[in-house]
Amino acid sequence: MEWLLPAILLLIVGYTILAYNKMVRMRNTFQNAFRQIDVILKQRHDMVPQLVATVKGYASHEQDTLTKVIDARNQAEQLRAGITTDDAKNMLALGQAEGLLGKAMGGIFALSEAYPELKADGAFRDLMEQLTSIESRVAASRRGYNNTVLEFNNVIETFPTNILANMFNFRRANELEFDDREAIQAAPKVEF
Amino acid sequence: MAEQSSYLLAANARKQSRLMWGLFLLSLALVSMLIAGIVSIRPVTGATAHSSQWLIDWQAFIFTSIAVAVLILLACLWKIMTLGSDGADIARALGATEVTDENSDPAIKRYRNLVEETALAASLPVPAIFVLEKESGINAFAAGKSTDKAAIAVTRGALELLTRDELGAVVAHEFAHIRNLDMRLNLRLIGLIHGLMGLYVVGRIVMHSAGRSRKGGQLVFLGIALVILGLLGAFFGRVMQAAISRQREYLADADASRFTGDPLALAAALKKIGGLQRSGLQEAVHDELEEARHMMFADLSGKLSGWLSTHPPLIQRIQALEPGFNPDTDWPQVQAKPLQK
Repeated sequence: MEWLLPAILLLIVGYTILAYNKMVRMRNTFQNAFRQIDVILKQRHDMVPQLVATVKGYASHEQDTLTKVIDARNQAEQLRAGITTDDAKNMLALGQAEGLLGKAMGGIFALSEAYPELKADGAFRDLMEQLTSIESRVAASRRGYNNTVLEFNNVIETFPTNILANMFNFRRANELEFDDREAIQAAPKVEF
Repeated sequence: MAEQSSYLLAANARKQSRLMWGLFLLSLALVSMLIAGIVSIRPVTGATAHSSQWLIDWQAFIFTSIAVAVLILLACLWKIMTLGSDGADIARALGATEVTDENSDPAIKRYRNLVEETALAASLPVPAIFVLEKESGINAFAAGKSTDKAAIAVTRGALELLTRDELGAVVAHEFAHIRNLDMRLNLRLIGLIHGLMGLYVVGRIVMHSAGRSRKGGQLVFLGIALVILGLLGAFFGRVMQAAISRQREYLADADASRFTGDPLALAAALKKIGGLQRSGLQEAVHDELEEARHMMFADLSGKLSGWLSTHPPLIQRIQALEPGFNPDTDWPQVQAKPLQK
């Protein structure tokens, strides 16, 4: 029976190695997915000044709507720049800021209905197409990220992997939720 | 949820693919043994005076069945190899032009965006993007054997006549084909049909040479058997290909509407195709496309129906997406724009 102890130890060590590697792979996967969102959010933010400049040319006295968009954009960009996925508070704030920005941009889309010249402007139409596309990319990459995060969290919070996760300091990642469901559905419908 | 159902669909595709291979191997074995039987059977007279006996020469039987099986397999593989696996090559051969980054046409930009969005949402690599510039009807296809060598193409008519949501639904339909590996399934089916047609060709040669040899009786019989088996096999292969293809179209429609969450957009695109068909504007301009009819989003003319048709009837596809659709009154009027050549 003297082989029993080493055999059990060997099993435990083998399992630990496998589980550790799996958790590392999953962490890399969701971090990669987050970088993808980050790139797209940056694109979204970078488009706002262009959009505002174009709209100003046709609807300069809609300052209220435009200021709102710029403010929302600046706040979201600030949060995006300093974000880490394991900071629950910041992730929540970023989601809210992006949601606000979506709503504010929805205001511009709605406004364009009242300005036929703006709507007919080629540059504006290009921007609208670009924004519509970015909105659906944001939605898709967010869904992808949230799925990978869910898988990762499931592993590090269930037994027995939670013990190892604790030992090796794997920390719960946070999903990115926008509270803008109606805004995304209502805003970027562009018909040509 | 959407992810889950597409996993199911992909599993379904693999199951269908395995079933097809099973059937193929079974028919391969049957055909080979039948032919080997004809070759190796010998009448034996002598041992008992009155009754002549039939004996099988087992060595010849095994040898011939292996030879026939190898012959069919080779013809099948050769066809699959020459059909190629690179989607972009197939698209080019069908007269499509690749979309480049610099293209500033707003319709093409929108299309490009849609493809990239869908690829992102489906976690698939972005396929090579093509346009069939000379086609004024609404159509699309996906080509390529694997997800990382895929190409997607739509007609100029689809770019001009569909709204963003409708075009997005068509793109999602093609992505469903790419993801479900339908092109590979179809390629294998074509290879199978070709392999069976190889039997027919060999049969013709055997019959021809048997006519000249002296002990031709058995050989002529063999030739006839080969010709009949080859033709029958190819015919049933085509029926099977069409049946599978119809099924895959429904699946791609279902997959696409789950994917976009908007079955009505896909229905609207199909309705526009119906509207074009009714005014005779949906016909393909390019002859090359006729060869690829099984790959297209919609049937090119709607002439073939029933067993050999590769697409379900348009009306049934629309009704699967939009149950209230009434084919007597609900076709949209579509103004086809003439294309500058």
